[in-house]
Amino acid sequence: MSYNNQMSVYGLVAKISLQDTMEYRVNFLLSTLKYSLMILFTALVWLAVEQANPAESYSRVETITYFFGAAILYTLSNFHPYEIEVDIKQGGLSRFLVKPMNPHLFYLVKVGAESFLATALKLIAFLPIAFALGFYFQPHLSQLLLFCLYLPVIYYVSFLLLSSISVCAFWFTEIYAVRWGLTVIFRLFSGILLPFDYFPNVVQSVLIYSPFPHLAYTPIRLLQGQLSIAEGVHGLTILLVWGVVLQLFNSFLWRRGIQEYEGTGI
Amino acid sequence: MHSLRRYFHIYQQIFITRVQMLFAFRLNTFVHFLYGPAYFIVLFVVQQLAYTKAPELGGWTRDQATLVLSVCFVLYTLTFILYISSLRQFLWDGIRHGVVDQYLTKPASPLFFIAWSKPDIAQIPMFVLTVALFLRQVWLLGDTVTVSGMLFAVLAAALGVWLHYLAITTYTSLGFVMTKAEQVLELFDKVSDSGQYPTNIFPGSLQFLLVAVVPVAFLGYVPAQFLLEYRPWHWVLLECLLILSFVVIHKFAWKYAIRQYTSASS
Repeated sequence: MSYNNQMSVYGLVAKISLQDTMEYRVNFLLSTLKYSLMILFTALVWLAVEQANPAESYSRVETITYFFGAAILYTLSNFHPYEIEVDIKQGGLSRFLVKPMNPHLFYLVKVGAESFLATALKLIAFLPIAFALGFYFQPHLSQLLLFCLYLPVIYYVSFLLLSSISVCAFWFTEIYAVRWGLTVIFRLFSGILLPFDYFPNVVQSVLIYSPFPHLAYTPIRLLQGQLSIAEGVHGLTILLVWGVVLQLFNSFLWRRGIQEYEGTGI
Repeated sequence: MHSLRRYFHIYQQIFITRVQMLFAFRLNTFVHFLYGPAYFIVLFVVQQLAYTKAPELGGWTRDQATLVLSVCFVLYTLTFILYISSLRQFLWDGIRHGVVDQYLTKPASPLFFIAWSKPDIAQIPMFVLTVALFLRQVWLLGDTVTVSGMLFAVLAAALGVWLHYLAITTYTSLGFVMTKAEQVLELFDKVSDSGQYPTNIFPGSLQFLLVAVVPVAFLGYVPAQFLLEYRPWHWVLLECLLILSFVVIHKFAWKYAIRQYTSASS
């Protein structure tokens, strides 16, 4: 199949995924809002900290801006590609034998369409609320562009991490608890529940080379103008390196897993 | 009495079956056992890090706020084991797969099966962990905790659990009206995480949310005040009024919901 045809196939997958998501609009809206509400409450806790001790924490505006960014970025790294597990368990992978599609790309596009839609929806819905609360940011154009470059990479690395767990369903049948566990680690170390620089120095110095802080903390601080372009590029490079490593690992798991696949379903 | 014994016998059978099902996938179950404690530890760490930045939040010291967190999580985990998990699964899969048909033909209330048929035994390690933290906090704050305070706290907590049950089952009845309503409970669950903090650190509108809409303040904040020798009787009065209101709303909602049920699974 030609490149153009391939693109149109995956374009269709994205379109169908969006239609599927929008079929139950209230449900989708609630699912988008739930984590944002959680982050709003977290932001209010850190605002209370700022009120109690302004010298040792972010300022009010900084806190609001930071958690606004966290709420927006959240859905790009916290999603559940559970369909991979379901297809492995129930024999749904067999359909890829007769379809001109790569299962890995299919899930990447399908889950991605939903995640980016949720992100866009939150951006539209929360911008007025954030401004009403005192949201303020004035990034340099280059910082804004670099931030935009982060978005697909955040999603890609998160997808690889989470789907690598899901692919283990070839061997373990039920694996959702591990995936849930990973999202908890995401929330803590990515800086969604608290700014990464609030961690003790020793924790920061170790985790800075992991993908986690670059999934939320680094791009948000970049957007706030608190990190330089060089620091932003450094974070993005770390994420890209992790992306390559995880892609190799993921491909290895798929290759080995397919050999275990029986296609009978349970 | 005979009816109560029958329900107890049914619940006993449900519990044994759940344990057997849980151990069908041992590795996943083992990770599932760890997920609850991991989630709790993440929230605990966030709270503790907040207290490294400020000595008091909303007039609550670190030990007092940790008591609120532990009381809230002891009760919330208990509700999760007993009924939240069942209600959740009912909204995710149950209603659309027509399971209510099965419940209607059994010699017990459909609401009993909807709310109590899938206890989440995997949360027991988290329950044990939260109880351990609670006992530690009571020991640390031993000077202020008295027997009468304990008794009043137990009373407030029992009323809080009852109110919580009425509220959550009322919202679950939306599943009969909406085709896909699972996110209603997910939203409820995420807002409930805020119960770990003293309610008074949040702005008034969100306090109202945590008291009257998602009444999680009565699972942590109010019982903890009784333990600490405050006597917030006005909160108990409000709790009773809310219980009365929710009894009426709950009755009406379920009557309407069951009438709407068409038994058409899809």
